[in-house]
Amino acid sequence: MEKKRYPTGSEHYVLYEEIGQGVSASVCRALCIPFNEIVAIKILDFEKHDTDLSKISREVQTMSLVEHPNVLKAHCCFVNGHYLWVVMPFMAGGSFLHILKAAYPNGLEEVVIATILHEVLKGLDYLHQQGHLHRDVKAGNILVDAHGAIKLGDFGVSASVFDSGDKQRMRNTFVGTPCWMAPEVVGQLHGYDFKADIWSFGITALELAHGHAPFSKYPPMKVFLMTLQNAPPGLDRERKFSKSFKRMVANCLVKNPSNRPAAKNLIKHSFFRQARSNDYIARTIIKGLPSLGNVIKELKMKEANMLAPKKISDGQEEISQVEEKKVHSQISWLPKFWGSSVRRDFDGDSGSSSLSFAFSASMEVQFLSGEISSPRDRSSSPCRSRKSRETESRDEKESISSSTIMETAAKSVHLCHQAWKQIIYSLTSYLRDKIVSRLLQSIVMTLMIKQRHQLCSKDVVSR
Amino acid sequence: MKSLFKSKPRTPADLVRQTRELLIFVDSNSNTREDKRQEKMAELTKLLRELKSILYGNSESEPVAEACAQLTQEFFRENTLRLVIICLPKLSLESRKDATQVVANLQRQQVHSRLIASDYLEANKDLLDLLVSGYEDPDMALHYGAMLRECIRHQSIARYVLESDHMKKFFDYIQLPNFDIASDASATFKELLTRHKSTVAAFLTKNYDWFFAEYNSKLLESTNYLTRRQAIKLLGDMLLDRSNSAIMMRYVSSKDNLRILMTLLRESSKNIQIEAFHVFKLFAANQNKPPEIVSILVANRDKLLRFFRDFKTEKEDEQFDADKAQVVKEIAALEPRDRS
Repeated sequence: MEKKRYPTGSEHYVLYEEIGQGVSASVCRALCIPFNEIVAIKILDFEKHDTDLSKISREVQTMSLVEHPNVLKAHCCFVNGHYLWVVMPFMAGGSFLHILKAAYPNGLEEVVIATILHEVLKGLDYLHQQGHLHRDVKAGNILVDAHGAIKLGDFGVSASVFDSGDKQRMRNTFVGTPCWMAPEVVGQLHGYDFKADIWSFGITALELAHGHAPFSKYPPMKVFLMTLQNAPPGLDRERKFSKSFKRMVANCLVKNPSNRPAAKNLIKHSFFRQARSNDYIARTIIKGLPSLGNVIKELKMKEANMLAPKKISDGQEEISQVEEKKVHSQISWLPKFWGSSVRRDFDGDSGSSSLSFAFSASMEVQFLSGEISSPRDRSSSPCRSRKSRETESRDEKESISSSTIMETAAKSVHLCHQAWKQIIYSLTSYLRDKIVSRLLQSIVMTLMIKQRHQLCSKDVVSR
Repeated sequence: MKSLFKSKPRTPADLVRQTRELLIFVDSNSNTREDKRQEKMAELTKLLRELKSILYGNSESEPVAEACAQLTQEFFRENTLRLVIICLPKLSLESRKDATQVVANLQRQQVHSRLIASDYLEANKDLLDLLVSGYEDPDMALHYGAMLRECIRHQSIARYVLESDHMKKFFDYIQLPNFDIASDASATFKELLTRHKSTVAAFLTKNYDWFFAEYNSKLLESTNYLTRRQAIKLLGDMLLDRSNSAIMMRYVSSKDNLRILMTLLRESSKNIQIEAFHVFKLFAANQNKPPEIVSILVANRDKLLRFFRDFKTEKEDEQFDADKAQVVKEIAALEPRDRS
């Protein structure tokens, strides 16, 4: 069996319009000349990554070694000037985030959802069996091609490194990612457990059903708190969804990760019996859609129109709805803040739990903004597979301490509970140091004051 | 009925033995019927996955030390590793990945507090030749590369690769057109040159001339942006390592090296400039600068000082600022020696 080898040189490709854009990477539709085949090329600027490049190469390696119909693979990748070109299959339908925004703002039909999620779950199961975590399951990362084939894209850390999507999506990634984050992401032994992907999967189900993720209209800080404090979100009761759909979602959105099903078991759920073929998606969803380039152009225009009046009229929306630059500054204080909380809590072993959270949070944001990463702040390791964790942690003090600390934390029975307190504690103490915004402060203070008292009393006891 | 034929659960050692038998079959390439062959391949795929889950654990259970030890012992008792490496191209992609992870993990398994993988490799060094040459085969490169990087965790094995002729090939491998393969090769190259300090220092001392000649001309003066960027970073890491101080002194006493570094300082890439600075500062800070270094620095004094005035990191970096101030002071204080 001879493998098809895509050429490694920019001269073999013709770039067409842009179909996605992030801070440090953009995606173009392109022609691969020798094969006369349309592909998508992700173009990443090395100059915008002043950190260790090995993270990028590891993710690209993973992407070129996957072979599953429901996982997006890289055909090849090569260096062109100070850019990295990653050649991938072209997914003509774009992501389901685009499709929701463009044509189904109130969500999709249940049969369609079952079909999509069934495919996604097959891909997720494959990744999990390979020891990979996706970490960023959401409609924006579920891609569909012209024949209705569905693939999970952007997995692993690449979720942020290869962040695709337009500016609209980018902000959603920042505001949105907290929406998809599992509560125990705070306290897991390995940072992110496989089960965290299942939580995100459940949130994605809600997103497809409603047209948006739960809490998506709130600022990120509030989303963190709501994920921690509220009961798990569920399907809209006023709309008709089947019992099995509700049950499936409820199974995924259980706060205790050990009570969530693994991908390989979830796939047997009765909800997926109604799943149809790719062809069905092609006929019902893809057919009526305008071309991807146009969808994105339109979305950009829509967004621009929406932004201008909102800014003036709606002060409440300040945090999530300001223009690009402000979002950036929002982003940039977040990891520093988590970082400082990490250091502060380092010596007590209860600090462990917030640590892994801090790592994953800062990582997500770090690569999105692309300007706040510092070379020493290599943050992925605690969240990766055991093997790579070991290799990485060798020379990284932070990782070593984080893994040992996490080991100790494993012994704690009240791990999750404590972790929540930690994050809450970090919130309050940060707010003590600096006034971020009056709005945030009032939200956090009212919500936290009780917790803080508990925590303080506990501190005294433990001493 | 079924229970009558149900075999006893297989021990880890059994699994290894069966794997070995199947590998021998795959390797021998005998003319068996196609369906029979496929059956055996499927069995092999299953076995490799089982071995992997014993070593790494799975979603339900953590690995058991005793089982891992048994597996490791049986694996290295005979030539299973050699068979795995030789047969790898004949396996499916998924099996290759499983096999790679198994081999990688075995390098860290201790039996009676000994790394028996290291002993095995030392007796079978030709396997390393095979792994290194894997970079020339795009289908095998990432698998063999991952195995190789685990193998050179053993100091004696790293020494073997460093002192072999393979070292010269790495200068080409890290510039291969496929980014995923090239970056794998440079990760291995970096590991070889930084992991085992004493071995590296001995290697660099002995091979200084050819090594840095190649390093300068092929890597630091490469036309490939990424090669230059990674090479200058690695050079800084090597020279700043305390165990390499003698090599560093030798490097910063050469005016050719200084010229290359000054060229890199003028690059349009900020990242390369910063990394180049971290090497350049060693030339300037050297308290026993040879006259030829001094005269170059003096000749370019105004240009350098002007350059450093505007040279900043994007984020605040106290260490960088302190280093820069030191370099500027050194250069400003230089006196041409022989003109008086």
